[in-house]
Amino acid sequence: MSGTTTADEDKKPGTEGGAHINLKVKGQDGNEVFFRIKRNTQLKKLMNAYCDRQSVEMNSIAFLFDGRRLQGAQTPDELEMEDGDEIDAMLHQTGGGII
Amino acid sequence: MEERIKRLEEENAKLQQKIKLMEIHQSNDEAVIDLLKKHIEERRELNHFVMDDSNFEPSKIAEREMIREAFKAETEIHRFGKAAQVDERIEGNYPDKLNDDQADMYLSRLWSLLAEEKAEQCLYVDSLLIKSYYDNVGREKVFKRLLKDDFFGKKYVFFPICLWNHWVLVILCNTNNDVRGGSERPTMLILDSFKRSFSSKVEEFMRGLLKSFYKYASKDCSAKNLTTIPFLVPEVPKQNDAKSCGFFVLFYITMFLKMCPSTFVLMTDCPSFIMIYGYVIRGRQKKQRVDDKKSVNIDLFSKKNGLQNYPKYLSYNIVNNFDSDSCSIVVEGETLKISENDVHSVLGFPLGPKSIPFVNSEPLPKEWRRQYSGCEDSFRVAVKDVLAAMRNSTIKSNKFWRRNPEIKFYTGSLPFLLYFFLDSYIGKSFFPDKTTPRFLPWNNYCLQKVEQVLMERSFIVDGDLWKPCFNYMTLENCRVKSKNELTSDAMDYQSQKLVNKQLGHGVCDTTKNVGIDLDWDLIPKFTFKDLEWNFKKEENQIDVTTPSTEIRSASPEQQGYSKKTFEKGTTSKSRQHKTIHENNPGKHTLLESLLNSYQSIHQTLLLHIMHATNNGVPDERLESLKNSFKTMNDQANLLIN
Repeated sequence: MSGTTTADEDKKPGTEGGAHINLKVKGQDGNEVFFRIKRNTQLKKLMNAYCDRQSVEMNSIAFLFDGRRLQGAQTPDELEMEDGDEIDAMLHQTGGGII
Repeated sequence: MEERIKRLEEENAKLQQKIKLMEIHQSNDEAVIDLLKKHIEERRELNHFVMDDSNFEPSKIAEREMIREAFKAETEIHRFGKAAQVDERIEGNYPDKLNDDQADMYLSRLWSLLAEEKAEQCLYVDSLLIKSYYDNVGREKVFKRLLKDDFFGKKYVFFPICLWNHWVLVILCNTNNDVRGGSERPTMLILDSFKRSFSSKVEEFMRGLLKSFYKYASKDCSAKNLTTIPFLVPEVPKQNDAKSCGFFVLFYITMFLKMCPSTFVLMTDCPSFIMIYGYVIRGRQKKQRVDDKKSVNIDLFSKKNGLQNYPKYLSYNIVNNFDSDSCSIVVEGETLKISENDVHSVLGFPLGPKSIPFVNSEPLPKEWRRQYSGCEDSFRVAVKDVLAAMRNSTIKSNKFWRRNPEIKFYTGSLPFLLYFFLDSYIGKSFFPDKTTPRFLPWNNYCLQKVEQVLMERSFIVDGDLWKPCFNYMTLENCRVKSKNELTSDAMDYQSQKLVNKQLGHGVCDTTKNVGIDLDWDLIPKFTFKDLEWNFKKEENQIDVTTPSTEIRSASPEQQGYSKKTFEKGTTSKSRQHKTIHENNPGKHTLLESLLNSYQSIHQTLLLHIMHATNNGVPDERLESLKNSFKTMNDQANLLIN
């Protein structure tokens, strides 16, 4: 998964109506993955798909949209997401004091 | 003589044996204590060495961690006896470190709990945003977010920075003010829980962030101005392990929000609100110390709302985390076992026959002992010291109450409170009238009375000494209650006893009369009423009618009675009879004199009896006295007849 690969992940390849939205998830390494989900679908689904694809555990990654953390139960509608918006995926950080 | 010497020698031998035994005990104790001390000290040193970061240079942190792990492993092996588990633990994922998700959850919750005004003035920047700035991934997004959050309208902006595997807090004060000059210009504070912090690294990073952000926001300020933003390093509580820095950062934020003034004035607030330890303004003015603040060397949290309160929270924490089943405290995943010996050595509670080693170096036991005057240097707290402390605290609380009458709560010692409660409780069941808690104070008067009564009312039954039994309550009551009640109260027990002994009524009566006369000085003489005299007369007559065998049984009351009658007979036989029958007013003095002589005889008799019973040697004079009493009885009976 090196470089910029574009993977169209169409969960519901049906109609192109306003009910669907294209979202881009950008990893820390710059990789971008595209998703297409319903506006009223919980973002949990997207997160799961992304983690599966990156083969990382769900709880090791944080998703940021517009500088805010995403909750799994939120929907694109709630967050007023627009087509082509970018979501950042970041690894969780821990700190203990060891340099 | 020889027997005596023999006995003495025997006793001597016994005593010597006892002393030997005691010595053995003592030496054993000392040996055990020495061993324990040694063990504890070794343990403590090791702990100290491992836990204290000051023993390690930052560059040797990894080494330190290894030692720590080894130490942990050792204890773990001790605990489970299994090496496999140790490996797991070492390779474990350090779940006890704070991650950014937890931090964000905590902070968002904290902000939602803040007062609205304050929440508007303060902003925290998500640590992931900082991270993404650091990674140079979408810096614009970060800045956009900050602008959306009205970065420049805030008084305080918190940057919980989690980079380089370490949490640091940077606070930007007076963000809303102009960067150029003035005492209320923006100021940066870095709060780092690590001892040898890498604040220069953080400073560089923060200055870079601000610079590009100000540029992005097209704020009217030059790079030159930005570099003059003071960067302060206050002294803060430090962590003593390698994983709690995140929690310290959250703690700093919480405390800061609690304390912070509405505007941060660099010159005035620095010393009072945030204590700065020889703080350094870096940047343009190279490491120039601000002279008048140089000497300020106080903890950030030691002022008013700070660490002064910390012991309270600490004790709450300890109480909350104490597991009484296993007798241990759970602190951040580690269990700290508390043994009886710990309590014993810290608080000085006696533990069996062992003495308490007095540790001079430890302030806590010292402080605790200081409460009890006189035992600062001794090994254990004596009961009398505790009592004295109790008394003092009671007196103090009394004064406190008097001075502050509006205060409803009790400030004295707990045992007193218990006593107070108990007394009022008992009082309710026994004295329905009582509304206020009461005490039965024993003063000299009461004690003397008891002694006197003991002397005067003891009597002999069949050659045995009988002591009167009082209801001690009546001693107090006698000063409050009416005299009639008193006499009946005081005598109740005795007369009942006599009835139980199936003695004659007359006997009861005599004691009663004696009792009245002897009873407390408070009772005026006019208690001797005609009625009583009449009654007595009747009793006398009854007594006369009782069979003579009963008199001969020489029960104490009979003796008393008979003696009185005898004296009547001897000293002023005829007159006494007259007085009794005529009820003339002079009888009081007469009877009193009679009674007095009776008492004196009775007392000497008692003294003899006591002496005799104490020594176990029959006293000849006693026998003769007894005999004389008998004859007196007989004579008196004859006279009455």
